[in-house]
This record gives sequence, structure tokens and C-alpha cells, in this order.
Amino acid sequence: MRDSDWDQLFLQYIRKRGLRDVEERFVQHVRQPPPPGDKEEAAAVAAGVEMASVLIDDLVCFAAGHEAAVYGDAYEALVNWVDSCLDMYRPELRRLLHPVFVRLYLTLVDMEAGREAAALLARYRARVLATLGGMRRAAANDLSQLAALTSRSLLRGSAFAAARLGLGPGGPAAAKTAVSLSPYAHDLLMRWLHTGGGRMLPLLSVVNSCLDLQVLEGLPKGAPAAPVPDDDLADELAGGGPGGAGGPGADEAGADAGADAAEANMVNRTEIKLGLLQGNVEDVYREQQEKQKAEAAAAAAAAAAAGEADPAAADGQEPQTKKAKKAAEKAAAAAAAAAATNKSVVRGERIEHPPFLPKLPDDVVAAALRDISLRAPVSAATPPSCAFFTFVNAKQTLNCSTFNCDGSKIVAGFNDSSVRVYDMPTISQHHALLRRSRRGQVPGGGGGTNPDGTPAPAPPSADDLEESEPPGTLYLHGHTAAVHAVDFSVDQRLVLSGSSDGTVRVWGAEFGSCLAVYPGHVFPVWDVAACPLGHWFASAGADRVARLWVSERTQPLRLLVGHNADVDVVRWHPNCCLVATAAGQADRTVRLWDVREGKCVRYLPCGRTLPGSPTCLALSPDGSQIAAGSDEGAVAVWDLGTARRVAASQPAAAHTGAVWCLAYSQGDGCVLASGGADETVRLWRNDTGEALAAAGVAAAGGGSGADGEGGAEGGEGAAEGAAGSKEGSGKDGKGDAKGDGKGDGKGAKPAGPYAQLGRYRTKSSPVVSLAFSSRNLLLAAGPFHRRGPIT
Amino acid sequence: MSNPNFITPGSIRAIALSVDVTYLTEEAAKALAPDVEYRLREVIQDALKFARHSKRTKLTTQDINDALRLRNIEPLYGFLNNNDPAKFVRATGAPDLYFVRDDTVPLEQITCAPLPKAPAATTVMPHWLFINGVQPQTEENAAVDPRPAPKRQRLAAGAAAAGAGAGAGAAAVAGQADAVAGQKRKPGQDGADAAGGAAAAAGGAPVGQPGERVAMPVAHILSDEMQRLLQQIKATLGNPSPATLDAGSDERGEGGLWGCVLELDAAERGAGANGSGLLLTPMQRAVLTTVQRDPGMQQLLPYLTKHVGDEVAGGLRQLPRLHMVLRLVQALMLNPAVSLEPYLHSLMPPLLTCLMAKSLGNGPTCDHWALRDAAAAVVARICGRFGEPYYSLQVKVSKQLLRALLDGSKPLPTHYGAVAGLAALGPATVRLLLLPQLEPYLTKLQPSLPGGGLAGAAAAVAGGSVGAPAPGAGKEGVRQFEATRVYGALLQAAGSAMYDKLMAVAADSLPQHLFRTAGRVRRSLAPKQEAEAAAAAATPTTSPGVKQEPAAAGAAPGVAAPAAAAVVAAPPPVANPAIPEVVAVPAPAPDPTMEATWQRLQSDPKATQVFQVITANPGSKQSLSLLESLQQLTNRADGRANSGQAILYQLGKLGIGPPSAAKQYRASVAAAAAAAAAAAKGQPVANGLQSPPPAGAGGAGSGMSVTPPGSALRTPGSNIAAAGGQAHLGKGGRSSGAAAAAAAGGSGAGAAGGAGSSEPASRSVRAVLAESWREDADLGEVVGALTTLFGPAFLTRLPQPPQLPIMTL
Repeated sequence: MRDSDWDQLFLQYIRKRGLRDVEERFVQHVRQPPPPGDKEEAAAVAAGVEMASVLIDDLVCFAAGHEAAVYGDAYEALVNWVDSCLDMYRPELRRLLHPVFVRLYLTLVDMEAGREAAALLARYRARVLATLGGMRRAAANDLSQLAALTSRSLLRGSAFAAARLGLGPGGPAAAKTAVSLSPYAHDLLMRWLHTGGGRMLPLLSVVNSCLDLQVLEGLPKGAPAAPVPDDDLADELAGGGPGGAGGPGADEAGADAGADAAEANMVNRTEIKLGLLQGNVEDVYREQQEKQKAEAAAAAAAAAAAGEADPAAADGQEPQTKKAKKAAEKAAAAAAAAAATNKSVVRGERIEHPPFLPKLPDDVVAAALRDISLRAPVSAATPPSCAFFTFVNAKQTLNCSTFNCDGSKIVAGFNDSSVRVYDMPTISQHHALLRRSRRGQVPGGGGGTNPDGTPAPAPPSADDLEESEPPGTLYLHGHTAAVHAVDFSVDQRLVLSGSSDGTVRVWGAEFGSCLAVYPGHVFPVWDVAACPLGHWFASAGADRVARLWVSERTQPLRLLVGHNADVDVVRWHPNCCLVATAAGQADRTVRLWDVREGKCVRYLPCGRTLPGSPTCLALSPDGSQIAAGSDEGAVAVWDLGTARRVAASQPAAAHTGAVWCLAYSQGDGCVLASGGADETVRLWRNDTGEALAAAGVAAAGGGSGADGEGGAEGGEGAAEGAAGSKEGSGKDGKGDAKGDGKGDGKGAKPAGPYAQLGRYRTKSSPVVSLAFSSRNLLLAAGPFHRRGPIT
Repeated sequence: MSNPNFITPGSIRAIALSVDVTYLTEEAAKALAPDVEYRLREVIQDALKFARHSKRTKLTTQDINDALRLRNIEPLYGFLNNNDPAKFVRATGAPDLYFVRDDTVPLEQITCAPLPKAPAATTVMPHWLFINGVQPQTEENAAVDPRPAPKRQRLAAGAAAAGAGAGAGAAAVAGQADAVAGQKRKPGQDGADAAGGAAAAAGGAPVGQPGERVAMPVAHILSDEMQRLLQQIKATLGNPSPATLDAGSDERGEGGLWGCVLELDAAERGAGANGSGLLLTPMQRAVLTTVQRDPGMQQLLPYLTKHVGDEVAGGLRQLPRLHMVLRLVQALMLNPAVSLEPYLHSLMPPLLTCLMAKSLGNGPTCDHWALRDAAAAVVARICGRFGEPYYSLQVKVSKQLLRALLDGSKPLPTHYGAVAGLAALGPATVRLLLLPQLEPYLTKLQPSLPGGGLAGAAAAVAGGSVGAPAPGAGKEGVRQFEATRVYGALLQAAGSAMYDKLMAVAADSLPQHLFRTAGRVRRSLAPKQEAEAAAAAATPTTSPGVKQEPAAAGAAPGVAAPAAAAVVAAPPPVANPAIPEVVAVPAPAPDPTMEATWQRLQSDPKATQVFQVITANPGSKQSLSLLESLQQLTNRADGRANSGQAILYQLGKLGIGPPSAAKQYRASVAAAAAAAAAAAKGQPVANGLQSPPPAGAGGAGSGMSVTPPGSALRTPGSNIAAAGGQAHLGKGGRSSGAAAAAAAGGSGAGAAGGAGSSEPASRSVRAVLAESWREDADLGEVVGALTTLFGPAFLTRLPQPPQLPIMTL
């Protein structure tokens, strides 16, 4: 390449940049012939030129007019780089994307590369919608503005574009968007931009021209330990400003769960049906009760009528008998009406049983109905009881555990890749034996006899018993890495487990062998959940994808893609048509997915309401709310229908460590239990659940009132009863509130929803799992962990 | 801008050097450093994920390895032994650089090492965390009421809070004060008020000190169950049924006695005679057991403390109630789940009242002494148990006791309580505090004693008249009796203290060097004795030792002479080979009264049963314990002592005796053997009797072995000793009195002590006693001084093991 070529190239570039002064100087310089004595300098320049031949190629390429494609590729590279960056810094790096995109788009339009610009816009929009589930209003505004700008002429006339390109009143400085980065993130970005070579040049120029990078010392924003940054707050305040020019519009990651963001969230506008399935067990039970009651009422009414009729018959007065009959009919009708109102009050909407989901087996239904009839009522006034299962000698290897519906079996996943099933009756017996023999040693003789009179076999000594393997433990070996999630199938006969080796396995809980392996996840499986209706299950893992499976296929049926980070939790909605997932770290969102379409239907960013990464989820039994706990001890509850936050724990009342598990009580879900690394179990009152329960009670009371009166006034009675018990429940609520204030002494405000009911400390066990048994006994488990150094 | 990277090119070069890459260009290092750091961050990020999904808050090496495996990197081997955490060593010269020492371990060391023990199998233990929203206080649950932090820490915390900011500090202090106030108020208030105070405390506390202390006051909201339990406890313990408490007839006394002996109920023994000791109904026993075992008692503690205070305040005239209070406190103290510390300040005053009140019970005739003894034991236990964190507790208590003792205006029962309390606090306290005051106090006490002097008191003590004051003597009699009790307590305390010291010395098996005085005396005596050896028998009046021999022989022809014969002749242990050595004693001298008592006892089935049990297998554990209890029984100042003595006497005829007596007997045999050896060298036998035996304690024992030791107080021998003491005191000669005591008791140690005190009065008794607490204090001198003060009765007390009343449930 000759010098003249060089000059040409430079001239072209300078003109392009619009640097007129430099152009003039350069032209003058070129016209002057180089002084003869500068041979050495020229040689040096030539050497430098050769060394930078790659750069020259890039420059040529850049100058030759292939800019459009280069811009597009550069943007793709940036997005990919940000997405694969360290989790900790991803949120703040992602803030760069929107300003850079806007600038790139405008540049492309300015270059009259409309096709590329449109492609870029389409790709960007799709990406934002897919990965973030929506965008803030400011960002959406930007996009609509941009979409209108399709040619250079339009660009010139647009104030929006002018401001963005630095041609507006403020000059180039006003076009810059301030983005603050932590030092290491800034370092990463700069290193990446510099090591990318010439391909990065356009990006570099865009970054230089549209971003005002501010390096702030300290941890990155959005990282767990960082305090709430001020400019985020300002951002939220300025969020409603016109045009969004004031703030960095593309702050998706920092998008808060305020009402504003929720409205702007297009995904959250999708209609979903949160109602329970028709014919679910609760409804069946309630219907049975109603039927029985109605029958009883009818019988009573008939008896009364007969009683009236008898003397009437004796008197021979026909009309009175007729009256009695009429009264009986009326009573029956009133009872039916009460039942009907009851249904409408309590049930809310019900959706049809989807054809692809199985029906519950009859024996399961029967067992569930029996359990419901024996279920203890749990509410703020009648708090539940909790049985705690301490894993001893676990030595920090217990990863997860779960209970079957009556708490007689515990499945636990361990770090040593085993899954173990503990049969509690057997183990309790063993412990009792141990105690007895230990006690028996002292007085010297425990040669008891069995209840049937036969002499018991010589009781083994306590030492032997302690040494020997305790009975009642079933080991399920098969995984090749730590097991991070276990779950029972609905009929309690299958155990699901997900492990670090990337597989999900299904085991027969009774005979203790692996039935099937589901390899699908590439990276560790963090969570597994069985469908409440059987034979479907969902898994979530480190590959940022949640999968839906049917147990008869080893390939997933649906991939739920969209999270930007590991999907940490997956839970089924009670109606089995929706699945909730949560992801932490860079993503920090809770999402709801439609099982049928595999689409995201709710997008709930944690934001400031739930500091930290979500670690656990629980859906209320009526399917209207979702609670999430985070690794910083916070608990937040959202209403799924409106995607609004219902409650968030006060920092004073929150856990002091990570929340590992959450559970709603069975039935009305009046109580939410949470357990965490701070070795406590906490109970929270769910007022909506209580209202529901109160309504149920009122309706029942009304029904019984109708029974008692046996007249046409039954309906009114029911209504009055309902009103009365509503008042009553209100009073109850106040009474409880007082009780809370006294009982807690912790300053937990009983005013808001989900006030704390109680805090119960275990001796020295973090609470790893929590569940309400089908009869509303709270079951909790955790490994005993001696304080002090790790042993 | 500071460099955000942690891995610098310098580190890279250092690492390169460590893996033998000697040449690394600057550019390479510069390019590698950020990349290495990025990879490290990635690995750590993944490892944290693993830790989080294992529901752990600590990162382990396993997590790092998992993270490495996730990225298809070979894991790091050798760091999986979780039992010893990696030890980081600071690199010299670099303040922020740490590394793990990487030792070279020979392979055979690993292969040849024994297999580690298989870890215990992981299993599941269920328990109730809470029931209907209320957490039960069980072992498996964390204590709701955490033990208060040690005082110093709390102070430090308070200081830190104060330092944090004036406002916050003030709030913290206020909160703390509030909390304290709440706590203090609680015992005096009912539940609601306590809760109010607690709420106030809870409101104030979080400002300064976050954490568990806030939860503390809340624990005092009593559940229904607990309230009911409290009512039950109060009702049951508040009314000791009077039926069990009246002074029973002889018949009842006998029944109680045998119940005692067979049950070995130390508490019953400690509670004393006359049936004023508490007989518990089964219900009360059960309640006390509950108090002792139930971990939930912590919640009731403020109320129980209040109960204790009320009972003592209201029941000063009712001894049973006070006894019951003591039992309650004792049970609370024995409960491992209860921390009494916060309530000590309100528990101690009632206890000290029980110990030192001016008058307890209705009238001076009732046995309030036993109550004081029991209270002393409880106080001593509390001091022992909480002495560690509250080191000033015992100091305060003993100071108070000593002040009470030295206050002449206080009545004698108070003095008795003070002495008992000091004695219960242990021999060291007695030596340090009581002994120095002994001489002045005894001189003050002397006028009150019956018989106008110490000897009379000794006689009274020995005569067993301690059970009840002299009847009909009126106020003066009461005072005399009380003084006798005080005297006895002093005797007991000093004797126990010295016994403890002697035992400690004997345990070191170096008795000789401590008896310097004794040695000196012996040395000084020895030439004289040798010189007078020939004339000793012929001219008894010239030699001090021989002077007494006829007196002894004459005064106690029935007892002392055979004893002397037995000692000198060193008789073969026991003829009956079935009797093991532990209980072998020489047969006692025939005693018609004993025979008569035994005849009477033949009709008692329990007595014969005990007798048969012992004779059937004298060496068995049961027999030994029965023997011991029999011996202790003889100390009791009532009719039962006679019975016990009779049985012991009868057993002695078979050659069986209590183990302690047997031990003394063996020691005496050894002493006699030594004397015999000396005699073989040409020493006259009479001098053998005189010279102190090598073992001081043994020597003391040799005088005692003649009679069943427990009954020494009542044997003619000791009566004579007392009489002798009296006689000599009457003469007014101290040294001669001591000498007489030595003669009458036939005790080598006594002789030594007497000799010590009879040395030129360079050292007053008081000075000797004042330094008695020192480790190297001359024991001989101290014993001598005490003997001087108390007379020979002290020596008879000496071998008694210190029996503090122990209350068991």
C-alpha cells in the first residue's frame, strides 16, 4: 500500500467524521512533499504500518461501506458478551444495551441502511420481550419513536433523533447517557472493547459518543450486598417523565415492581385463568358436605312437617298439612339456595379440567377427602403445630428434603449423590427402643415381655443400637453428583430427584430403585416439582431453562426459556395449567408460564421489594397469590392476577439469613410459614385467606341458620349470618392484632397484610424444608449443625 | 482509579515461578492476570451457586470442585478433608498475601494409616417445634430465655453502644435500665404487669442492642399450663401437712429411724431428729422432682423466687414451711435447665434469713438448728455453683456471716447460723476466717456455757444433751443450751477443717514433716526418756509420761487397760476368716448396758434384719453402707443412738465394725507394730505408749479404736477424758490440762499438740490459729491450739468426716 492510498483513506475517514479543521490541515500536509531528511521517520512509519496491517484491513473494510452489517454484528457481540459475563456485573452492564442500541439504530438510519436498522429493531424488540418479559414505559416509548424513523430525511426532522445524535440544543454532551459502573465492570468492558480488534471500532465510537461512563467505587449495583442506590430511586421518580429523555430508559434489570413498571409490562397484561380446576378435591369435599347438610335439613324439615302434619291429620284439617308440606319444600329450596350462594361466594371461578392432564386416581381422592375431613383449622387465631425433623450426623451434606402428605416419610437429597427415604414410624420405634435400653441399663434389667406375653428377645444394648445402622432408611443410589431437589409424586409412590449431574430421576419409593432417568439439562438441575395431578413434572436448572416433562417420555415437552440466569425454583400452580419459576443473580425475577403454550404470562421483577435472589416460592392454595423468599431473608407476596405486590416483609421482621422454604397452610392458606438459614420458622398471617375462610364459615353458619329456622327467611338468615360473621371476623382480626402485638414483642406491625404471627427458633438447625401435611400439621426439617468451625 | 483487579501481573509471575516457568515476559503476565482473575471469579460464582443450592451459607471445597467440574476442569484433590480447615499462612513481607502450606505427604503414610472410623449414620429425630403456635420448653428446642451474657461482655457491649453515638447510647442505656427494671419488678408483680414491663423493655432494647435479649422478657408470658403448674407447685409446697411433722413417739421415731437407715436418705439425717425434718408426701416429692427436672422451670423462676421470699417472710414461725422452701431452692438449683443467676439477688436474702434469723419456729424449744444446718448447706452450694461467674458472691456471704458472728449484740442462734454457714462454705473458709476469731469468741462465749466454762460445754456436748434444752432451767437454761449448740458448731467446724487438712496431708503420705513441733518435742524428749528409761517404771511421778499411766489405768480400768493391751500386743486381726479386712475390728469390751439394749432390740425385726444382712456378708457394699450409716446413727442425739451402738457393739463382738473404724484400727495396729519395733530396740514399752506414733492421724485413731468410734462421745473413756479436762481446767493449768487430755485420750497427736502448746508460750494460740490457713502452717501447732481451746472433745471430733447435711429427693 502506497502512501497516497493511506492519505486517501485518512481523508475519507476525516471527512466522514466531519472534522473539517483536521481535514484542512491534513490536505495541506499531504500537498507538501516530505522533507528528504526524514527517511528514518518514514521507515519507522512504514514498519508501524506493516505491524498494523490487520488494523488497516479493518479500516478498509470500515471505509468500504459495509458499515451496516458491521454495526449489527458488533451489537450482537455486545449482547452476547453481556449475557455471558459474570453474574455479579451483568445487571449493570446490561444497562448499556439500550442506549447503545438507540444510537446504533439512529446511526444505521443515518447511513440509509434502513433494512439493517429494521432488522436490528425487530431483533432487539424480540429479545427484550423474550428475556425480560416486557419493558418499561420509557423504553417502549423509545422503540415506538425509533420505529417511525426509517429514513435519513425523517431523522433530520426529528427532535428525538437530534437529541440522541448530539445535534440538539445541548450539543454532543446532552446526547450522552450517564451509566455508572463498578470499577471491575468498567475494566471488563474496556478490556473487551480493546481486545476485540477492529470489529469493535464502531462499537467503541458509539460507546464513546452516547455513553457517559461513571465509575463508582464499591460493589456493583444490584449485587446482593449493595445498598439501594440513589440514582435508581431518581430513575423511578423520573420514570413518568415525558419522552423518557431524562433517565436511562432501558433499565430493565432495575425495573421495579412498582405499579408503573407492572403496567408497562406487556406480558403481565395477558389474560390468565388462575381459578382452580373443576372437580378439585376441596370442591368435592365441600359439595359432599353441602349435600349432607341439605339432606339433613330436608330430613329435619320433613320431620317437622310430619310432626305438624300429625296433629293436623288428627284434626283432619287439610290446609294445614298442605302448609306444612309447603314449608318443607321451602326449607329445602332455601337450603339449596344457601348452598348455591355458598358456592358462588367461596369458590370464585373454576376452569375446566384440561384434557391433557390426568384425573386424580380414586384412591388418592378418597384419601384426600378423608384428610380434609380430619384437617385441623389453621388461621391466625389458631396457629398450627409444627413437628421438626432434625437430621443428625448429616455433616453439612443435606441438600434438600421433602415430606409425603402425612409426614410419615421424608425424602432427602444429599451432597454425596444419594437420595434417602426415611420411614418415620420405624425410626421412631428405633429411637424409643434406644431410649428404653439406655434407661434400662441403669437399673439393670429391662427383660420385658411383649404385649402378647411371650418373652421379648434379649434387648440389644444401647451401644449396639447406636453403632448399628438405624433401620427405616432406604438408600437410592444412582445419581453421580449432589442431589439438589427431591419431590414426591401426588400418589406418594414416586420420588423425583434432580441432581448436579444434569439428570432427573424417578424412583419407586416403595421398592427403592430407579425407574427412569430424564437427561435433558446440560448443567445442574436445581429444582424439580411434580404436578399435583400426577405424571407431569417440571425441572429447572443452571442452563437457564425450565423444562416440562411427562413421565412417560425422556424428552421434555416444553422448554420455558427466558430467564437470564439459573432458574432456581420451579413450582406448579394449583390448577396445574401454570408453572412458576424464579431465577436469581442477574435475573431476579419470578415468572409464571402457561403449560400449554410454554409462554411467559407473568413477569414479576424482584426489584427492591425482594432484595437478594429468590430462593423459594409458594403458591397459595386458591392460586391467586405467590410468595417468594430471598437469600437475604426477605419474603414478598404478589397477586398473580394483577401482577402487583401484595406484601413484603419488613426488614425488622424478616429472616436474618436466607429463606430456604415457604409453605401455605392447606385449605384456605391462612398461614404462610417460612424457614431459613437463621434457624427459625416464622409464621405469617394471610388475611385474604382468612377473609376467604370467614366467608366460608359465614356461609356455613347461614346454612345452619336456615336449617334451624326451616322457613322462607332462611335466605335472609344466611345473609345476616354472613354479615354478622364478617363483622365477627373483623373483630377477630383486631383481637388477633392485639394478640400479635403482645405475643411478638418484636414490633411486627399487625396492620399490613402478612403480618408476622410468630417466630420459633430451632436449637441449631437451619430449616431446609417446610410443608403442611394434608391435615395441616406443619412439618419442618433441617440438619443439626453444631455452631463453630465446620466439622 | 484504583486497580479493581486482585490478581496482579506480579502474582502471575510468582505463580509462574512456583510452577517452574522461569521466563515470563511482562506482557504475558499483564495479559494473563485479568484473564486469570476472570476465571477465578467465574469459578467462585459457580461455587457459590452450589453452596446456595445445597442450602448452606458456607462455601466448602466441595463446592469449588463442583464448580470446576461444571467447567470440565480437573477438580483440586487433597482439600476434601473437611475436618481440618485449610490453614492459611501469611506470607512474610506481604501483609495481604496468604497461602496454604502445601506439605509433601509420603504415600505410605496415607496407605498405612488406619482407616478412619465410619461416620455415624445420618438419621432423623422428630420433636415438636411448637404446638398451636406455642413453643414448648423442651430439651430439643432452643431456650427461649438465653442465658445472660457474662457481665464483662455486657458491659463491653453497653460501652460500645454508648460509643456509637450519644443518642443511640443513651437509648441503649435507657433500654437496658428498662429491661433491668422490668426484671426486677417482675417478682413483685403479677403476670400482666410483668408483661407490661417486658413490653417496655422490648420497646427500649432494640435501639441499642439488637439480638436475642429482646426476646427475653417475652418468655415470661405464662401459658395456661404453666400457670396451672405454678398454682400446683405453690399449693403443694405451701402446705406441708402437719401430720407428718409432729414430734413422733418413740415408736414413730424408731420407724423413721429404720426407714432412714434402709433408705440412706441423707436428707432425713441432715434434717435432724425429733421429726422436725420434713417427711414428704408422694405428691410433694413428685412436685419437687418436677421442679428439679423440668426444663420449663426457667419460665416460672421469677414467680418461684417470689414464692420463696413470701414463704420465708410469712413463715418464720413455721419450720416446715421453711424446710420446704429450702427444698424448693435446692431442687431449682439442681435443675440443669434453670439458670438462677438473674434471681440470685432475690434468692439469697431469704436463705440467709433461714440461716441466721433471730428466732425461727415457735419458741426456743423447737429444733430450728436443723433448719439452719440445711440452709447453710444450700447457701454453700449456691456459692460453690455460682462462684465462678460471680466471684464476689461467696466473699459477700462469708463477710456477712463473719460480721454476724463477731457482733456480740446478735443472739446466739444467729451466731450458730453464722458458724454453720462458714463451716458449710468449706474448710478453707473456716481456716481463713473462723479459726483466727476462735479464741476471742470462745472467751466471750464462755460465761454462757453451762457449768461455767468450756469443759462443761464439752461435757454437755458429749453428754448428748443437745437434743433439748435443759428442762426447767428457764431463760438461763435456754441461753446455756444455745451456747452449747454454738460451741458444738464451732467444734464441728474447726474439727472438720482440721480433719480436711489432715486428710489432705495424709493423702500426700507425708505426715511427718508437717508435725515439726511434734518432731521437736520428740527429739527433745528422747534423750530424757533414754536417760530415764531404767527408772521409768520405778519412779512414775517424775516422768510426765509415766505420771499419767496410773491415772489412766486407774480411771478407766474397764476400757483403757484392755485397749492398751490390745495396742501394745498388736493382736492378730480377727480370728474369723469370713470377715474381710475392710471391716475387721477388735472386739469391744463387754458392756452390760449394750447387752441390755441389744436384748431389747432383738424384738425389732428391722434391727435383726440389718444385723443379719451385715453378718451374712460383711464385705458387701450393702453391708458397708449399712455399717457406715449405723455409725453415723450413733452420732444422733436421741434414743436411736443407743440402738445403733448396741448393734455395732454386737457386731464388734463378731469382729465386724464400720470401715472407717476398721481403718483406724489397722492404723493403730501399724502404730503398735512400730512401737513394738522401737521396743525391740531396747525402748521400754511404756515409752512406746508415750512416743507419738509416726502417723499423726493414725495415732489419733489409736486412741479411738478402743471403742466403736461413733459412740466415742458416750463411752466412759471419753467421759473420763472430759472429766479429766475439767479437773485440770479447774486447776487452771493449761499445759497440765493438755497433758491430761493426752493421757486420757491416749492420743499421740494429742500428746504432740499438748506438747506443742506447752512449749514456751512464744506463740499465742491466737497467732497460731491466725496463720492456720497458710499452706505451710504447722498442723501440729494448729491442732494443738485447737485442742487447747476446745479441750479433748476436739480430738474426739477430729476423725469424724465432715458430714454436711445433703438433701436429696
